[in-house]
Amino acid sequence: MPSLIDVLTGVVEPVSNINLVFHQAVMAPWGKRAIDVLDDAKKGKYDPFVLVLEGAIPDEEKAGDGFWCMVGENDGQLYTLNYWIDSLAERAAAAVAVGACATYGGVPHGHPNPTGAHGLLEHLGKDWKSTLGLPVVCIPGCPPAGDWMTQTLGALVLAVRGFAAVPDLDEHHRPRFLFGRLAHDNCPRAGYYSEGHFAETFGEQYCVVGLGCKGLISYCPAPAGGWINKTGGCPTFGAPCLGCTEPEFPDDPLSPFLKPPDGVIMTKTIIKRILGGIYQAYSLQKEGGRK
Amino acid sequence: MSTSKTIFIEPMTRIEGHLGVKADIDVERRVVVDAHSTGVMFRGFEKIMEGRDPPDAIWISQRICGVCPTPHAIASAEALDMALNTSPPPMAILLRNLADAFEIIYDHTLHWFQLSGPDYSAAIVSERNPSWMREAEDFSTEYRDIHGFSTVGEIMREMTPLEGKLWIESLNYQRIAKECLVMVAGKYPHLATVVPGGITVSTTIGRAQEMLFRFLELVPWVKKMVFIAEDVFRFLQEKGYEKVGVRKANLISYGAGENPEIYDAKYENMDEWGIAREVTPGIVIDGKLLTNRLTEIHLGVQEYVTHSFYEEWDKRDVEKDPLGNEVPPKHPWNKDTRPKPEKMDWDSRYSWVTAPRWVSKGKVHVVEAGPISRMWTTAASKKVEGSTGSSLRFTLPKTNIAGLSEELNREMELEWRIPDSVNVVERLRARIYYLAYMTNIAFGEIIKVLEYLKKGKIQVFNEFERPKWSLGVGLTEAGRGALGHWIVVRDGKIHRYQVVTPSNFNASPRDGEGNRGPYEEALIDTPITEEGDAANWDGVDVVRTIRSMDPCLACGVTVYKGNSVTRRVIGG
Repeated sequence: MPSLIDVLTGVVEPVSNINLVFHQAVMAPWGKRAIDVLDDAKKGKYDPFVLVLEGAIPDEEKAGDGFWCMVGENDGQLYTLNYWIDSLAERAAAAVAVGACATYGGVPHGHPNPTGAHGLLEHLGKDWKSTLGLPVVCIPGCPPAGDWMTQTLGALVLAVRGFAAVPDLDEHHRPRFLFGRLAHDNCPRAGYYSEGHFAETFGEQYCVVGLGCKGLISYCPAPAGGWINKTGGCPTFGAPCLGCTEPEFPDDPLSPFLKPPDGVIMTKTIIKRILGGIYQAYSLQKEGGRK
Repeated sequence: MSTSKTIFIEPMTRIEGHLGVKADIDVERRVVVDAHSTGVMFRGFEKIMEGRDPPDAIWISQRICGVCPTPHAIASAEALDMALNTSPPPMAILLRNLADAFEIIYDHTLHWFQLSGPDYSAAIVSERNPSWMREAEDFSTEYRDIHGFSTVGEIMREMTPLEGKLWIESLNYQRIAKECLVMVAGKYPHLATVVPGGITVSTTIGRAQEMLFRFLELVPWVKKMVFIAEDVFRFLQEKGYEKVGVRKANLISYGAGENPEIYDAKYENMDEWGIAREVTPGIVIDGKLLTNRLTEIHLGVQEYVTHSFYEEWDKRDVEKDPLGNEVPPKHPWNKDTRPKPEKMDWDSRYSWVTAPRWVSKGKVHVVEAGPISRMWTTAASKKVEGSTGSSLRFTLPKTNIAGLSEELNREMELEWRIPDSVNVVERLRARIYYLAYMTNIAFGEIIKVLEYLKKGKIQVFNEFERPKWSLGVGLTEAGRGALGHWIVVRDGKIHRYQVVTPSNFNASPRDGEGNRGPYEEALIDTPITEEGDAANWDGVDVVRTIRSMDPCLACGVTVYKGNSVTRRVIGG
């Protein structure tokens, strides 16, 4: 929630009249008339607009006379994706990167990064500010759940219209209201972890950290929050968390995906739990002593 | 005054990914005389997978596409089942099949209402074919009892993006289909649970019910959708639209939906388990079925890069397949992806898409992938129940959903017949019937899941190895058609990983022999129905032709705006 239909039809006043003017996968026009929309946005027709990026940004200098990603042409002149990002970012009231690729580069920037791809945060920089003074907002995940997108975009709309505060962001520009907790900390299987029950093979109901789950080092609300209408969740369904919300995805330390995370991390968290148990037992003992 | 007009459409919107199409039109004769199709984005997935741990391919390769990750997961998992010497237990096979069927239900709904459908909605028809819109308002429907609309004009209005009831309603059903999918996949898009040797979670009687009862909500909707489409097709045929986007019936299908008791992931048995699929593999050349054997079908796949931005490769690591058959140098097991960006030149290199062809006995065939291909091979082969050699018959189950008409709740028999020609209308029709066929398959699979649960056969995973050297191939049907993954494992790591997608076949440029790709072929001689002055033609017949093959090339930029009414802008 809110659903896509709620957003598009403007179900309630504070989020009404949101206008999706350009999205290659859903818009009615094609070819030149589609590109005219971007051109008009560049000239200010749609101010104030939010620039939402999906997909990584390649290094076009590495493409020589050719190109890695083209979006539109005019009289034989080809436009690259980078051209549009750079010209639209200048006027954008806010810039939001959606997904692993757009935020931090995602799979295309995975080793050996054949196209020199990177995300919007690196492209515009951590100090970049929109015309409304907002930094780049990142909604990571491969892909992010629909709710993460609508809730973050919704929060920005509410903020711009004065109904809510601008969402608090972490060091990787992720909204804390979504990415403030480790996957492990909201995982329905975390209880097995603290009891020391680890799945040894797929299909068992226990904690899957030993099968490669990166929930201990990845900030993500999916295990408890699910993917669609609160259904699903990766470790919830016995699948190892890939760490797709982290900037390093899909490389080290998140892959190989079936390799358990660094032993040190596991040891530290296990020691914390043992200490926690001892403190708890100790405090019970003290209470008992007073009686 | 010149009588020719060139339209270069880039971006081709309402598709997945970045595609451009150039069409040269003879204005006086009102036909397309030449065409070029170009993929305008490169990411390098195949290079990124080299050197990684083999199982990682399942998760990475799915990220090729956000619309069809399930078939990528399945193709990759089957390639790995084979290469890593394992085979999933029956329950895992059933759950993989179900994920696939649910994906098709959402995917083909998306295509009919959001991607292709708007071209037949009032928004675009009244602008580009205004005389049609007037006729459609008086064109009575034949299936009013089922869908409730009296005229095709009414349907077209309800298909208008953002405003139309059908457009909005369809989003809701897509969500339900994805919820069913998540019951198996844990996550969607990009399934979390598929692993070599099976899947990471079994189902329970609780989860199976959650799946079943969500699924049943979809059944009447599918029935309604089939007959809405049939009425629109009747109108399009009245307007002669079966002459648009015609190409020869040269088709490829890998089939899909493994039989849980027969699939063993062994290359040596691939022809046997391939033929036992719910959707039959096959090659059709000039309307005739040539083979159903998966080994022969996949060994015929060869990729040309003569008109694409790549260098030729010279290494040949795989000379023979595990059965001793010759593996040609241009086969994906031998292909090395060597990108070389260049200036676009229509006479030389003009696309990031390669040109895969099906080569048999030295002859190069340009083959089309898609629902029409797999419906054709399934109907022609008589390998599944309901296949008659010229048609495919199946049933959609009875439901008892309160508030719905008897017409929508009753059991419904459907029959898809092999058409006389491959064209825009028949491609769209085949897609709608494939959606219905997959609905029938999904129902059967859920019942089978209950049977296996009852027998206590809930195991979902068998251990795999990481061999020093091995080969794997995974072949299935994505929404858009035949999808293949090929892997070569060396020293326990991915040595080579190659993917040939259906849009790779369909959107391909010219090949080494100068043959056009399927989009290009389909555009040649396509009549122009667009009304008004030629100077203002936007190429609606061109985009309808291309979208009938549901291109999938992947990525995008999005802009939201703050304070006017959405509907007007997106409507045109």
